[in-house]
This record gives sequence, structure tokens and C-alpha cells, in this order.
Amino acid sequence: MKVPHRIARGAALAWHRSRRRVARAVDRASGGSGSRGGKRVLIHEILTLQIVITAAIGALAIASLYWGGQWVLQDNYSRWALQWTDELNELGAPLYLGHDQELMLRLERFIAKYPEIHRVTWYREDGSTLYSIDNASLAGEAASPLSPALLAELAALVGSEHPYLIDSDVLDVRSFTILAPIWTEAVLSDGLFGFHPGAEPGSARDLSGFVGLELDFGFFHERLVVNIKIATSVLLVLLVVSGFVGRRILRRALMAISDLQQPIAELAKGNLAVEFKPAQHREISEIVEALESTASALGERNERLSRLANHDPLTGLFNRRRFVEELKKVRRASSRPSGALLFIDLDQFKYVNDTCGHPAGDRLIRKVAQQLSHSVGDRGIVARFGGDEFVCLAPGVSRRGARALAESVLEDMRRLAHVEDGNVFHVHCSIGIAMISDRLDHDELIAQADIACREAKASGRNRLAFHSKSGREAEQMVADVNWVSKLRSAIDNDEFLLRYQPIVSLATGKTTHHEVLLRMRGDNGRMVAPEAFLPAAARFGLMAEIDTWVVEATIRELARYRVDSPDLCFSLNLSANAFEAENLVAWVGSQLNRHGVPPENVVFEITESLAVRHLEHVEKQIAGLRELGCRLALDDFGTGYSSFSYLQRLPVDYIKIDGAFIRDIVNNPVDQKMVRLIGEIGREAGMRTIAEYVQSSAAFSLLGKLGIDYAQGFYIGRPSATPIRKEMPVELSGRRARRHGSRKRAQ
Amino acid sequence: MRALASCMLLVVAGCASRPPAAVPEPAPAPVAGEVAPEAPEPAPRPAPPPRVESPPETPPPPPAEPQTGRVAVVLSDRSPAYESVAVALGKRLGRVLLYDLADRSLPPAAVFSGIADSAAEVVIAIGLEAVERAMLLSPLPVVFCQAFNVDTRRSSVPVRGVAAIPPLAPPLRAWKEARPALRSIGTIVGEGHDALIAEAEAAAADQGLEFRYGISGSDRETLYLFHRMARDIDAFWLFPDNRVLSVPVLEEMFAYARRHGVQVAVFSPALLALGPDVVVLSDPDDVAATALAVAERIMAGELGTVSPLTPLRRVEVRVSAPVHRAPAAGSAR
Repeated sequence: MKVPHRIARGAALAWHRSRRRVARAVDRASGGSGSRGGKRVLIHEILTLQIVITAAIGALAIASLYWGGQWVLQDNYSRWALQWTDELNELGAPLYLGHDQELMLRLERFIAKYPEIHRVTWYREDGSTLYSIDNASLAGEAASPLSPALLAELAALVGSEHPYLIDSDVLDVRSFTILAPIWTEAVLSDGLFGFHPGAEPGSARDLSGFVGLELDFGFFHERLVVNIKIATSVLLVLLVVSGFVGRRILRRALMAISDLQQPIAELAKGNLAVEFKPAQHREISEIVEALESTASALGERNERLSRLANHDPLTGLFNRRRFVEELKKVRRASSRPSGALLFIDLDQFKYVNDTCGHPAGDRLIRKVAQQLSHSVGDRGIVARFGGDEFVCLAPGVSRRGARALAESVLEDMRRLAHVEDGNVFHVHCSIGIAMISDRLDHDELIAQADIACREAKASGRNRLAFHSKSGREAEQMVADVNWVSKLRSAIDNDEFLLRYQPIVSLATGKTTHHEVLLRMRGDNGRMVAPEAFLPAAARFGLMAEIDTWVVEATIRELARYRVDSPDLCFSLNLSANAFEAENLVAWVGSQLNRHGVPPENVVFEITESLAVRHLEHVEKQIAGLRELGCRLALDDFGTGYSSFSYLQRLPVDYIKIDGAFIRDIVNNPVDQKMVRLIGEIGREAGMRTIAEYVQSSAAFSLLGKLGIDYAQGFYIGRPSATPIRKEMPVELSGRRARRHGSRKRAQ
Repeated sequence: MRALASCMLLVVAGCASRPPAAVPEPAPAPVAGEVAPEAPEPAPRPAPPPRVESPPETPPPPPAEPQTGRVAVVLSDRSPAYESVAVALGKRLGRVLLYDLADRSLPPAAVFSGIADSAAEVVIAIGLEAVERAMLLSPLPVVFCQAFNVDTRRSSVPVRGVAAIPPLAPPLRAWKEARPALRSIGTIVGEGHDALIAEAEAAAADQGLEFRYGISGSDRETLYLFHRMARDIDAFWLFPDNRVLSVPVLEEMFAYARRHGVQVAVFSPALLALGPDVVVLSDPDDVAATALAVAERIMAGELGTVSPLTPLRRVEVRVSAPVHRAPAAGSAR
């Protein structure tokens, strides 16, 4: 693809849009996290955590309550059981008082007061049951007599310090059975008069029987269980309440974050004027401040991008894109729009550029821009389309007013004198005027004014000309407008085609890489070279989109071909638009990553004229691309503003010698010397040289002898639909010469 | 426990009481010994204001005459309550035949066989064991003392006794004076003490006190009755009825009484360890004199006119300091 250097700037937004498309694609590829519904919600997670922790604490509390209560009760059961042994004298009364109805009633009343007493049974000395008092419903369950072994065991307890047996079930410690012997005791006859604390008087003991006390603390246990159930219910209610309250508190606490949700969404949509609520919490406040700073920075960046997108960086005037918008506005403002479009082209600007250099040309352009703005004033809008082309939109003016405006501009320009290096330059201009009409769209209007400008130049320059539809001009205009619509369709529908021309090594004759060439299919189905449509693309501001397409398609295709040929390398051309884009390097990097293409397999070509014209900018982009790993080639070297000194500032890998030196090299000794010189300089600078337009075997052989490294041209191979690897025969002597050159480079 | 170290001694008697005399060593085995009168008798203590309540119907014992060899004294054992009476008898008789049943070197039958062979005409049995043995084995009339539960119906020889408990009215009066708030008093004894119950009831009535009593059949019943009685009485009089008392029950009764604010009067200084509020003691000399007087009358052939149980004349009352509030309660001991 060959890109003319006269290309409109301001394609940064196109790159930006492209980047966003890539980001969205990557986002989709990474698992669809773009779906908001599939994402985790912070507040829900915190609340879930809170509920889980609360439930765990509650469960532990309930378990502790149960086991703690159980333990305390069991301990108390044992103590109560022991305390009941103190009552054995009272309970044994029927055995030493004899059966007494009143006594029994009193005992029944006494026992009835204690729900834990299950039953009290009195036994005779032989262990048989005397009678019993049941405190519970024990229908049919009679107290069983005491076994002889138990009788003996109990009888042995008479007079002991702990005269009772406590029997409890290991598995059910709520039940106790206390059995005790009941006996009477009398001091021996003289004991009392001779009583002495240190010498206990003798006594006579008489066993009366036994008493059995069955205790069942199940009543308390049931009450404990009931109380635990109540406590559990209360605890659960408290948990639920604390859950709800905690939810509200958390929601309230996190409200500050939730409040950020909407403004952040607005910010994500691009609404940089969004306002954030002042936060009360320090952390959120810091986030808000950061977001506000981000929004502010984004706003500034947007403003800068917008300025880049709408203004010419050299003059500060509107660029083509913005001018077209303004033109559309004027046309939309009325059903019968009126006004004029002035296409202004400087005369002899190239002379200043060539003689004083590009910086001088830039200074002149800025001066002209100021002059034009001053001349037009508030009568219209001035824009720069690129190079030395300016346009002026004068809404509402009549044909006479347009002429008057153009004449005043011509007059002012005639008075403009530019001093450069002591030389005074008078730069005149030619103006083409097209009158705004509802029948013409903006592209047609610009084309008409451009044609009129060329007419004015053809008529002798430094004059104005109104567009008049001659047959040829109308045909040209229609052709330009047709190209624009076709280009738009090709961009939108992916209708461009890529062709691959091999570049072979003159040392080995093997294909080392291919230059990727852009083609488009014409109406007749034949291939159309870029020279036919790129001028129209540049004129109508489509270069940025075409660049984007070319880079994407080239890298994509390279990835596809590398499956079979991993060492395949492609070389592609970029326009000035591409090098003016701020994010070129990052975007290229993302494309390479996306398709898994090694950067060293891609060579970017930039024309010498473009590089020299935008040296500072191109230098920076070249460095970025080289840092990425890509290689760079300086195209069309030797034409235009060739200056070997630039080679030192442009760290490229290849120098592509312009075809003008190669076309007749076999017969032209000057060309031969020039090519040899370029080759030698390239070697000295550590760069490899590529000769274009090699169309014969003689030229191919000669180039090898002149020390050139690579060749490209119809002799080697025409552009093809797929990259074809060719191997060319090479002469031994040429190979030796190049080896010698290689050694020098290595040194 | 209130310590009776700070107690006040009231001697309710016609003369000053004296401390128990030092118990002379008993005669060496095998049978008996003669107790020589103890020379110098300790000087009488300063007497508190006389609180003598002499039973009017009981004549004072006649002066002791030398009865050497005519009276044999049999002791259940050498506990202070008994030995002090023996010592007092010795003083009065100058020489006495003393037999200690606790000395197991000579069986009781041999003891009484020896007495039968002696010149003794009357046996004075001190303590229930000695009384019961004497009633079974002695060929001579028996005079008993320091014995509470004596069933003379089983005796084959004439038996007369000296009351084991001093008169109840004087100590009750002293108690009432020491504690004017006293409103009711109770006691629990075994069967067969109707006279004692009647005397106590009369004494209580004299002091305007309500009197409650219980007849018990065993120590557990005593405790059972005491638990119920204690709710309604201010004071309890413990009598030495061995049939219805045991050491565990005594301890439980005293503990229960302390918990419920019931004052307890006991009959023996040996019970001081349990923490009684009042101790009512008989005078060994009075016991000895009374027993000797009864013996004299029997020897004089007046058996038929001698009361089965001769009351004592003198009583010693000790009231613990916190309880004693009577202004004329006597001097501290």
C-alpha cells in the first residue's frame, strides 16, 4: 500500500474507537464478565457472611446453653440427691413411729411438695415392702422387695458415717435411688450420767427397716428443655432481628458505595460531567475524590483528543473532519442552504519547502493560517485540509459576497511577505469557489471547490475561480464522489483485498518477506491499484479507517499463514494518519497479542517524505514500535527531500531505495553510483537495503554486485493473492560482495 | 458455741456448794476398798444470794452417824457423777466398803456375794448399772442414786432411791429470771416418768410458762418429736433418759436447737461440750446425804415409811452469760 504524504490528520478518535472495540472483544473472550447479572454483589456477600457468622454464633450459643444447663443440672442433681439423705430420718419415721394415719398424710403432703420424688418405699427388716408413697402415676408398678445381697449391704451401713446407698444410672443421671437403713439407738444404761465428749458412751442399735427414695429429676430436665427451647426461639428471633437490623445498618453503611454506582455508570458511559455525592466516610470520600480527579483528567484528555480530532495540530484551525461537520450543519440549518465554500491552495509553497526546508514551510503555513483567519474574520470558518490546502466556509453569502470574500483573501495574501533566512517570500494563493446548494452534499461541494481551485491554478494562479460544470470536471467530481462511496462500502463491508509481493535476499535468492499491498475490486471486477482510490480517500478523510483495516487484516492474515509458515514476515505501509495517532504502538501491540503474532515478523514501512516531514513525531513512533519488537523500513528513499543525515535520527532496519533509481539502473551509470552509495551508507548505518521495481535479471544481478541486500519487483514476483515463496538464482560473485558488506556491518 | 467459761454459777441451795471433791483412788482389786474421809474440806466459796428452794415436805437428813461397815457402796463405774457421790459418802461414813462394777477382775455376782458375807446391812448403788445388778444380785436392801430409769418391779429385795434430778422449780425460776422472754418450755422422755412430767408441768405453771412434753420410744422418735416441738418452744429441758437418746441424736438436737434459737438445759457438766444454755446439777454431797439418810432409816427398820424416791434438796444452776439477764442472778464463778 502506498500512502501519499498529503493526508488529513485527526484520526485519533478512530483509533480510540477501534481500541474500545478490541477491549470489548477481549472482555467477551475472557468469559463474559461483561454481564452485570453474573457478577457477585458485595453487599450480598457481606450480608451472607454476617448471617452465616451470626447463625454460627447462635448455634454455638444454643449448644453451650444446652450443654452448660445440662451440666449444671446434673451437678445439682447429685447435690440434691445428697441433700435428700438428710431427710432420711424424717422419711424413715413410719419405721420407728409405727403406722400412723396422720403421719402418713403428713409424709404424703411433704413428698407431694417435691416433684423430683418419684416414690418413697419403706421396707421391713427382711426386705419386704411395708408400703410406699408414689409421687407420680405409677399404676401397676409396685416397689420390688430388696434382694438379700442389698439387704446385707444396707445392714452393714448401720452406724456408719454415710449410712445410705445412692444408685444412679450412668446413661440417665437424672434418676437416683437412695436406699438407707433406719435404726434406733440408745445410750447404754449409765452412759448419759457418765457422758464425756472424748469417750463416747456405748449404745445399743436396733434395725427398724429400710427406706428407699426414688428421685427423678426429669421434671427439671423437661423444664430445662422447655426453657432452652424458649431461649432458642428468642435467640432465633434475635438472630433474625439482628439479621434484618444488620442488613439495614450494612445497607446504610454501604449506601455510600451504592451511591457511587450510578455516577460511575454514567462516567463509564462517557458522561464526564457527572456529579458525585459528597461522602461522609473517609474511605469513600477518597474514592470520590479519585473518581472526580479521574473524571477531570478524562475530561481534559477528551478535550485534548477532541482538539486533536477537530483541529489541525500545525495551525490550530479546524481540520477536515470538523470542517465537514460545520458544512453539514449549515446545510441542515435550512431547507434551502446558501453560502460558499472556498478551496484555497498556496502557490509555490513547494518552492519554499524545498529551498528552506520543512520547518520553514511549517512556519509559512502557520503564518498563512493566521492571515486567512484574519481575512475571513467572522464571515466564515477557515480550516486546513492538509499540506498547503485551506478551505473557508462562508455561510449565507451570495455569489457576489463569495467573490468579495475571495478577493479580499487574495489581496491580503498578496500583501503577505514571509521572511526566511533573509529571503523574502511572497506566497500567493489560488481560490476555488463552490456555492452551497441543497442539491449537493458536502463531498460534492468540496470536490467542486477543489476542481475550481485547480481551474484557477491552471488559469495562471493567484486568482479565484467559481466552479462551473464542464463535462470533464463533472466527470472527475462524479468519479471522486463515487470512490468515496465505494471506499466507505469497502471499509464497512470488509471489501478491501490484500496482495503479497515477495522480497528476496540477493545473497541467497530466497524470499525473506512479503510486502502487503492494498487492492480494491473495481466495478468491472478487475483489481484497482491504490493510486486510484487513495487520493480520494485522503481528500475525503478516510485514511484513518483504511489504515486501521490494513493493520488488522494484515496481522490477522499473517497469523493465519504462520500456521504453515511460522517464519513468514509481512511488511505493510502506514499513512501519516497512523503515525499521528497517539496510541498507535499500544494498539498494534494489542493486535499482535490478540492474534499471537511475534512483533519481529511485522515490518512497518514509512515513506521518506512523511518521515522527514513529521520527523519528531515519527521518530517517537518508530522508537515505540521497535521497542515493541517490530521492524521499520524507510520507503521511497532517495526521492524528494532525501537527506542522509536523517538516517542517523531514524533508527530503521531497512532502507527501500526508490524505484526511480532502479528502473533504468542497467543503462544509467549515475543511478548505479547512487544505488551503490545508498547501499554503502546503509551498511555503515547498520541498515539493510531493498531495491524496488526490479524488472529484469540484469538489474537483479547488478544490484547484487552493488551491495544491495534485497530486491523486490515484477522480475521476482508480481503481487499475488497468497504469499508465494520464490527462490531466485544468484551469482557467486554478488554473494561474495554482499558477504563482505555483511562483515562490515557486523563490525 | 457459747462457752460456759464465761458462765455464771448459781447455787440454788441452802448453803454454798463446793466443787467436786478429788476422787480418791478406788480400793485396789479384788473387791472393794474403804474410802477414808477426805481431810481438809475446801473452804466454802463465796456464796451467791441464797436461792434455796427446799421441798417443804422433805425433812432435812439427820446428821450422819458413824455407820462403819454397815453400808456397802456399789459403783457402776468411776465416772465423776458417781465417784463424787461415793467420795461424799465416804466423808460421811468415815469408812465405806466401795465396789466398782467396772472393775472386771471380779464378776458382779462375786461382788454381791462378798457384800452378803460382810457386815453390811444396806447396799447403796450409784448408777443404773449398779442398781440393776444390785436388784438382781444383792441379798440386802438397796438404796440407789444417780440412776434415772429404775424399774424396781424386777427387784427381789427392798429398793428405795434418791431422785436423779434435783428439784425442777428452783432452776426453772432462775432460768426464767435470766431470760424473762421465756414463754414456753418442752421436754421429751421415755415412758414411766409421769411424776417428773407432773413436777415439770407444775414448775412451769409456777413461772407462767407453757409446758410441752413428748413421750418417746427411741432416739429417732425423740429427734422426730424434737423437730416438731422446737417450732413451738423457747427452751428444752433434757433429762438423762438413756432409752430415748443417742449421741448422734443429741448432736442433731443441739445443732437444730441452735439453728432455731431454742435454749437447752442439760443435767450433766459432761454435756457442756454440746453447747447447752443452762446446766442443772445436783449436789453430790446432797445426793450422798440423802442416800445415807434413806439407808439409815432402812437400817432403823423404817423401810415401810420410806418413800420409793426421795427428792434432792439442793440444786446448782449454771446459765450461760448471753442468756443470763437476771439482775440478782448471783455472783460469777
